[in-house]
Amino acid sequence: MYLWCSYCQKFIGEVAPYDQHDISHGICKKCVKNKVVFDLDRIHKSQEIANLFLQLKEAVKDRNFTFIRSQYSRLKSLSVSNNDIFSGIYQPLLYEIGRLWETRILTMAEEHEVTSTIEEVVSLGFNEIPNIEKLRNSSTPIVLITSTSQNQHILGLRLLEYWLCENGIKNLVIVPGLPSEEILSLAKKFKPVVVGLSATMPSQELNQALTKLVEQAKGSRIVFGGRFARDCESADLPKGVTICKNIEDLHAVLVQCKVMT
Amino acid sequence: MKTKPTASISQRIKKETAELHQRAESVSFFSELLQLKAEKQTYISYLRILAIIHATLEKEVSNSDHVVLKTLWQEKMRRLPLLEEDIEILITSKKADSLNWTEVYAEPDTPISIALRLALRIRVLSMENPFQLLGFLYVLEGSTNGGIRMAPRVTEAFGLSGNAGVRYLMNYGEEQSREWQNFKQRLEEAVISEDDVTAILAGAKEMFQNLIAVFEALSVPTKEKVVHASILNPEAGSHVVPQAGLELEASFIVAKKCLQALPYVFMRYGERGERFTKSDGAWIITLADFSDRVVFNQIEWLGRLLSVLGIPRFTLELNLREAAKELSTLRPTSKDKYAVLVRAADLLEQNRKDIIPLKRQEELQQRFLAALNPAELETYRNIDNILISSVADEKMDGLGALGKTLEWIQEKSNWPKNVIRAALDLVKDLQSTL
Ligand code: B12
Repeated sequence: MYLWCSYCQKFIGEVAPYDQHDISHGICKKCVKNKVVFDLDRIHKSQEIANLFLQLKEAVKDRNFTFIRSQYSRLKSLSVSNNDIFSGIYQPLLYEIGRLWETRILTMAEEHEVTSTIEEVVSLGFNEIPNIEKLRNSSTPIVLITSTSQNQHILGLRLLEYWLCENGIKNLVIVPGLPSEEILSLAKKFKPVVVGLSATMPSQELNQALTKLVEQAKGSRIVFGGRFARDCESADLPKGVTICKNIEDLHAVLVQCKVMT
Repeated sequence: MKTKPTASISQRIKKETAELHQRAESVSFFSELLQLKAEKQTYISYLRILAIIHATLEKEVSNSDHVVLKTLWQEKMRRLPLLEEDIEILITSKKADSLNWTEVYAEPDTPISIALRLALRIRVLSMENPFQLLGFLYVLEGSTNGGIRMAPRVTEAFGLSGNAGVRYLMNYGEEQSREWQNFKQRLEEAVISEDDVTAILAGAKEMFQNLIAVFEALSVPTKEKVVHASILNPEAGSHVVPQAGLELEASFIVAKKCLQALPYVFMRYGERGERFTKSDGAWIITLADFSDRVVFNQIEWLGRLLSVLGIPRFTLELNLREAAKELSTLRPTSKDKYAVLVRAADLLEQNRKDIIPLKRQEELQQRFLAALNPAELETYRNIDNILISSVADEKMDGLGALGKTLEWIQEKSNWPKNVIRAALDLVKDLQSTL
C-alpha cells in the first residue's frame, strides 16, 4: 500500500500489505509536528490524487495512453513533487501493469507504451534538480547502484537515481547492468559508502555478484533492492547483504552510514 | 490524405530504399560469406537473429485482424520453421565436436539485443500502425531474391549438400520469382491510399536500418558470449537461462521428456508449445541456486502465468521433477542443490490435493482411462492429469482458462468423440463436487 499525507499531499512511503498496489491516505510526521490544520482544500486535493490514481489504473486497462501521458501536468498542478509522482503514483501503476501482463490482460507492447512514457517523464524530471551535474554520474559517488548484465528493468534504478539526486547525494547509477567482474572493479575503484544491486528476478549471476561484492568490496555497505528483493529475506542471499525493500529502507541505510539525516 | 497512389508501390519502395538496400548488401558479413571466408558460427548467428525477427513478425501478422495484413499474408510465407531446420542441421555437427554445450549455444550480446528491440517494436507497431509492418514484410520477402543467389555459396563454404542448411535462403526454390511477383501484386491491390504507402515506406526503411545494424554487429568479433533464452526459443524474450554446459544439456533432455509425457502441449500449441517448454524449462533450472522461499515464489508466479494460457500446473510439476532427476544424474555431487525443485513440485501437488483429494482424483482418472482404447491411452497420455489440474487451477486463479480449454477440446482438438466425451464428463463430475 502506498501511503500519502492528506495534509501536505506528500508521498509518505510504502506500508504493509506490500503486495497491494493502491494508494491510501494518512498523515506524515512533519504535519503532526507542525500541527497542520485539515481544511476543505486539503480534503479536495487528497481526493483528487486518489481519484487520479484510480483513473490512471483504468486508463491502463482501457489502453488510453494519451490520458496517461497528459496526467503528469495535472499532478504537477496539484503541487505534487516529481519524486512523489514517480514513487507514489508511477511505481504502483507499473506494478499493476505487471499484474495485468501476467494475467494476459495487457500485451507486452501495451506494457511498453506505458513504460516508455514514464521513462520519458522521469528523464525530463532530472532537469528540474538544481546542481544536477554535480550529483548525477558522479566521479566521486557516495552511492553506486547498478544491476547484473541480464537485467533490463531499469525504471526502478532511474527512480532511485532521481531520489538520490533530489536528496543531494552524489551517485553513479549504471544502466543497463554489468557483468559481476565489472561491478566489483567499479566498487573497488570508487569505494562508495554504499554499493547497491537491483534485480527483478533471481539469477545465478546475481548471487555471484553479491558474493563477490561482500567478500571483496570491503569498505562499502552492500545493499540489494528491486522487485525480487521484496520477496527475499536475508537467509535467501549471501551473508552480509542488506535488503532494501523500498526507498525508505535505503534511506535508513544512508542514515546509519551517516550520509543522510 | 486518402488519394489512391499513382506510381507502382513496389517500384517506389525499391527506389526509396535503394541506398539502404545497397548498404545492407555491402556489409562485410555478406561479402565474406560470398567469398567463402565467413565462419560457420557467424552464419549460425545470422540465422538465429533472423529467427527472432521472423518469429515475432510472423506471429503478429498471421494473427492480425487487420484487413490488409490478412490479404497479404499467406502461410507459405512463414519461414521460421525453415530457419529452425537450418540451425538444427548446422549445430548438430558442432554439438558432436564440442565438449561444451555453452559454446554451441552462446551468442554475442549486441546483435541479439538489436533483434530483441526490433521484436518489441514489431509488437508495438502491430498495435499502433500495422501498415508499417507491411514494409517489414516487404523487406523480408524481398530478401528471397538475394537468398537464392547466396545459397550455393553457403553450401560450398560449409560443405553442405542439397538444401540442407540453406532452406531459409532457398525458400520458394524455383517458384521464387513467381512468388515475389505475386507478393508485389497483392501489395498493389491491397494498398488504397497515399498514407498507406508512407507507412509501408517507413516500415521498409526501418527494417533495412535494423538489419544493417544487426549484420554490422555480426561482423564485429566478440569474446564475450552469453546463452540467451531467445536462442533456445526465438519468442522467449530475455529471461535468464543456464550458462553452464551440463545444466543446459539437462534442460534439452528434460524438455524432450516432458513433451513425450505431455502430448497435450503439442496438440494444443504446436511447435510454439515445444519451444516454450524448452525455454521455460531452462529458466526453471536457474532457480536451483536459491532458497525454498525464492523457488516457491517463482514457481507460484510461473504456475499462474502458464495456467492462464491453458497450460495447467501439472505440466510445471512434471517439469520440476524431471529436471531434478536429470540434473542429479548429470551432476551427482550437486544432487542436494537440485532437491529444491522436487520440493517445489511437491508443493504444487499438495495444493492440488488440497482442492481435489487424491482419492477423488484417482476415481476420476480410472473412469476417464476406462473410456479409452489401448492406442488412445498412449496418444492421450496424461490428459486426465491435465484436466484435473486445469480444474484445480481455475479454482485457484479464477481467470477463465478452464473455459477456453474446454472450448478447444470441443471445437479444435480433433480428438475422437469418446475421448472428448470422457474429458468433458471428468470436468463436469469434478466441478459438481467442488
Ligand atoms: C516494465 C517492465 C518490463 C520492461 C522494462 C522496461 C524498463 N525500461 O525498465 C521490459 C519489457 C524490458 C520487461 C522485460 C521483462 N520482464 Co518485466 N516488468 C515490467 C514491469 C511491468 C514494471 C517494472 C518496473 O518498472 N517497476 C517499477 C519500479 C519503479 O519498481 P522497482 O523495480 O521495484 O524499483 C523500486 C524499488 O524496488 C527500489 N529498488 C529497485 N532497485 C533497487 C536497488 C537498490 C539497491 C535499492 C536500495 C532499491 C531498489 O526502488 C525503486 C523505486 O522505488 C514489472 C511489473 C512489476 N511488478 O514490477 C514486470 C516484471 C518485473 N517483468 C517480468 C518478466 C517475466 C519480464 C521478462 C522475463 C519477460 C520476457 N519473457 O522477456 C523480461 C525480462 C527482461 C530482463 N532480462 O530483465 C515479471 C517478473 C516475474 C518474476 N518471475 O519475478 C514482472 C513482475 C511482470 C509480472 N507480473 O509477471 N519488463
